[in-house]
Amino acid sequence: MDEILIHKIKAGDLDSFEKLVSRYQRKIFSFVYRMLVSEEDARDITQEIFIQVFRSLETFRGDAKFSTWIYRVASNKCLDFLHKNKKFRFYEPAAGWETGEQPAGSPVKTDPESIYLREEKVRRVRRIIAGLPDKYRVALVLFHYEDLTYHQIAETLDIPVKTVATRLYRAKLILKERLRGETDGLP
Amino acid sequence: MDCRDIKKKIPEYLSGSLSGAEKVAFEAHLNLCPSCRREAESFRELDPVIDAADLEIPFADLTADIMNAVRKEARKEAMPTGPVQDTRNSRTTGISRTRGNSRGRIISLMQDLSAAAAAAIILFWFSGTVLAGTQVPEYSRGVARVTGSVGTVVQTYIDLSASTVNRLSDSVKSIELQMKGDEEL
Repeated sequence: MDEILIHKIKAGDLDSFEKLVSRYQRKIFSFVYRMLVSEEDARDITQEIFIQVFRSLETFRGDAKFSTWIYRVASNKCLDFLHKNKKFRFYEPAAGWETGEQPAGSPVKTDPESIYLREEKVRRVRRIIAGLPDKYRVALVLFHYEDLTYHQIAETLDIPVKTVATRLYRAKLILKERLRGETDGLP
Repeated sequence: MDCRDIKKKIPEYLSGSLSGAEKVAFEAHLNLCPSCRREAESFRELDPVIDAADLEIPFADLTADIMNAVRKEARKEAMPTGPVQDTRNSRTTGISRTRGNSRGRIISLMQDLSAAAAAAIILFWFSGTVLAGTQVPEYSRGVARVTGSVGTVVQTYIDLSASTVNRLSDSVKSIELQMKGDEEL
């Protein structure tokens, strides 16, 4: 499907590009939002990503799948944005950040204390994830929330599979230790 | 694999990404090492915690906004080269056009250099003859052709120049004869 659309786009068909955008915009926006944790920035960067894709589609040879390629463009844009805006980053933004929604299917205790503790833990985890080094966080987001495999992440980030494994290990190690540290620090 | 290697591979193992042989070695180590087993267990507990911390993604249909921006981009690129399908190639086209221009300039420069070289050869080859007031030998034209060997442009230069030199040489000879006659008179 993507290959056919890309072929038509290369022949100058903008309607096919529109189809490609509607196929991927939600997925890319979600990824960017998870990386930037700001709806406004995520909208702007998602738009930039698709413009970049439009400009660079000529260079897409089909060696990788289009989905991998667009994630690569998106990852680079996000990392670039985060790098440029490092000074201004803080981690208390966005709708959904503080609410601690529970994923569907998990057993939910509804007493106020359980709800509070659950939400508190989710908030802590989100804060720690947001504070991870960007290269660890992008691997974690791609693996846990975008459901990419180690191989797909390696292709997306253009790094060896071994490096993906190391980054995920370190991300989780930091998360585990910080969670333990915060718990130990609690009265 | 020692404990350090094993611990690094825990997330890979838990995600089912380890290959057959690695998985066997990993599990064999875990059976013998309580420390790595505890570590693996703590990582296993972490995964649902991470999953639960996923953000609620706000609804956003950006297709219209993106397409507006892309159409603007397409128009901007289309301006120098015409239709949309050409525009995405515009950079490439631009480059090849520039390359074409450079190639043209290089050819033109080469022609000028050849002409200059031919002129230099003619001056070097025939100046003695002109000054001596003798006829240019026929073979020298052939030699000049071979020496030049830079294509028809040079050949034409040489032929034209050789005939001019011959005419000049004739004139000089006739002037000399006239002067000799005048002296005899």
